[in-house]
Amino acid sequence: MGTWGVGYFENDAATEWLDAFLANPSPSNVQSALQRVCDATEIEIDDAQVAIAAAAIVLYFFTGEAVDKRISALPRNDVLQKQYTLIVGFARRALESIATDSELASEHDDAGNVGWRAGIDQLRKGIQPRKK
Amino acid sequence: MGLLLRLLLALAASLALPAWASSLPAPLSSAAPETASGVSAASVDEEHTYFAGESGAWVHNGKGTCGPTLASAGYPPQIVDEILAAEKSSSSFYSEPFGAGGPHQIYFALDKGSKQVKYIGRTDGLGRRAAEHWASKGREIQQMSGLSGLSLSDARAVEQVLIEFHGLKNLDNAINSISPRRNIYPYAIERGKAILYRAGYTLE
Repeated sequence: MGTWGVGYFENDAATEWLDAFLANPSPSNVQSALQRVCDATEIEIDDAQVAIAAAAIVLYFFTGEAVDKRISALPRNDVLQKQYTLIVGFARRALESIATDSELASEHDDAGNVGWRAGIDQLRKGIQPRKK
Repeated sequence: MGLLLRLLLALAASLALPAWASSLPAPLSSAAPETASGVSAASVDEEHTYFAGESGAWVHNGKGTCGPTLASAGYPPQIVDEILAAEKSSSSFYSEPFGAGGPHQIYFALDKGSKQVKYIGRTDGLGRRAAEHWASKGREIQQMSGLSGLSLSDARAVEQVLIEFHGLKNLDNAINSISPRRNIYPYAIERGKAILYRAGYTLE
């Protein structure tokens, strides 16, 4: 996977995953991508980048905030929002794992790409539980 | 550099020169001096394609090999042994067998001014990726001849060999494809080099 920036979709893995997801925008595809990271003993770069992309999808359906114009074209409704409410926990866990201990995090840290962690923090804040 | 950096590539499906080749300097003789950029010149002829980076040059030998025909393709026995050893050692570490195959291909982009390699990537859809790079960065990408039909593991291994060869700091790649901290790293590098050998490339 080539990575040309710190953005959520500035790498081959996330871009390819998003292309596939847009062709078949099923919440189960999002959950699978997130669960793969949650279940991993060692999180590989590609898996982490795909999970971050999946978390960006969760953010959109959970809050309406689209981080990429391709995502904003996806229709939202109450049914989908409920489905993503069930997935958001996976997204929180996946992002926590990636930020805490992953090949991707160490690579960005080593390269001095501070913007990457800022992006992850922003994503994590966006999918925090809502106060009632 | 020795044999480890002499990656003789396997045969490309197509021997046509990529578009960027027309902008390259004229083919150099085997005794060519260093180029103006300080890159050690590579020996090429009409059947070779190559591209120079800041730290060296790729050379595609214009023939390559397919399958267990390394010796018959004219590779020296010592290099054949090295390739086979690399394949054996790396395969024992991977869940995917060496050369399992898949949809991935390796691509690169050149700096518009210097014409040196500035980006290495892999994709399962070159046309789509080319459009995305162009739209987001104005970057033109090219497929590396003979480096398609790869599994994800193989593609990442080749990608990392090339990133290491050019030096991450010299590329627009933000990070490595495989972290050098990982235990798998030396195996991945050997695997990537063996794939490059088979595809007919030399890194000099």
